[in-house]
Amino acid sequence: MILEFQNVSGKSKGFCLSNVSFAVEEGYLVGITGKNGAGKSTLLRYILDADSNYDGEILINGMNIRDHHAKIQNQIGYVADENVFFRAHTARENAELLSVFYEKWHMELFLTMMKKMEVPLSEKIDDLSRGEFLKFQMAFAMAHEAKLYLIDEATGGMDPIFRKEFFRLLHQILEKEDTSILMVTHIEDEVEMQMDYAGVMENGRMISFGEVGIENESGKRI
Amino acid sequence: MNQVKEFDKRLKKTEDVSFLMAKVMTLIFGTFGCFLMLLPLTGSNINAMVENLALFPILLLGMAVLVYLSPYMHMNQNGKNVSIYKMLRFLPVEPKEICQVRKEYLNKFIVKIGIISFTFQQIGAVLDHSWSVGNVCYPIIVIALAWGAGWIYIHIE
Repeated sequence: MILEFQNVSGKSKGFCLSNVSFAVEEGYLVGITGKNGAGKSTLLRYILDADSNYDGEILINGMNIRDHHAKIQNQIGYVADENVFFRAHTARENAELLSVFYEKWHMELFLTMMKKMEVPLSEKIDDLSRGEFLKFQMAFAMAHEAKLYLIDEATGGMDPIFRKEFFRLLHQILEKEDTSILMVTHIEDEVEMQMDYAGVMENGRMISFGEVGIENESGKRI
Repeated sequence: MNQVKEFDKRLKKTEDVSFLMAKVMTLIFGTFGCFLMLLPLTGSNINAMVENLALFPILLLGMAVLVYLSPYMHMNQNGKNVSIYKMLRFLPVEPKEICQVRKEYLNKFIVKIGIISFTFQQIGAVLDHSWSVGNVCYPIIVIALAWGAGWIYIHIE
């Protein structure tokens, strides 16, 4: 089991989570869906931000993220529009600057993936298109051997061809490496078509979580 | 700690203009601040002048410290001043470690300007034949306040 939320509750910037519990196992693509403001992205914030204030526990490979922030961030690949990079610097400069923090960093792999995905290395982050920025983040996460990918609303606004390509890449990652992917999305079709497990959030509560297409305890199909 | 230092090294290369500007400004504030320390606090014939100028070294050396630290704390991202702590918050580095490295830089800088300020104050007081314990305490207080300004800057961020 790679990621586990145990009765996580908390408030942040008007969003509120109450008693969220679920687990993401190795090798699976897990989707969290729900309306805007349901608390989906807050889940990811709690994993990423060392200053998050919440009750309950979030464990990654059995380690409490509160106690091992740096060690855990080494295993996380975060892909989101609002991810923080040096926007006035090129993709290559970002990789060179930030790679120092990772225990495992494969510059060769990063360069290969960037080339394969046709993302310009010498372009400033601000000048990359949205799709290129997401691909850059995927290459960045792969280069430091992320074990848990956290993807926040990445596919919204993607054209169908790129979306298909994006999911192909995610499935390739899952096949080759001992990784898991937790993806937050409000596109329900995507959950049904692409995810192995899914959770539905409403007003800060996880109202349903289980294998996609299987009926849950209350007889409702996830 | 080493990772943060290595990051700073690389940051200096990519943000060379910001670091150069900060260096020049630090030199200007630091030089003026240190030279004002040549005026002894208790000088008999220039007492009134010294009383008026006693606060200037604190301000100048305090500014020198803040300017010296600034490129390690903030960076310009397309016209916006962004905190480097915030830039690194999703990365595998403890905020405490970043703070510690910044404090190391602060301490090294304070030692340098501290020695110069202290020496200048003693020279000024000896030449003025007015040396007293006040001339020992004054530079220590000035430097302690400048260090305090730097410490607060690092921690507030």
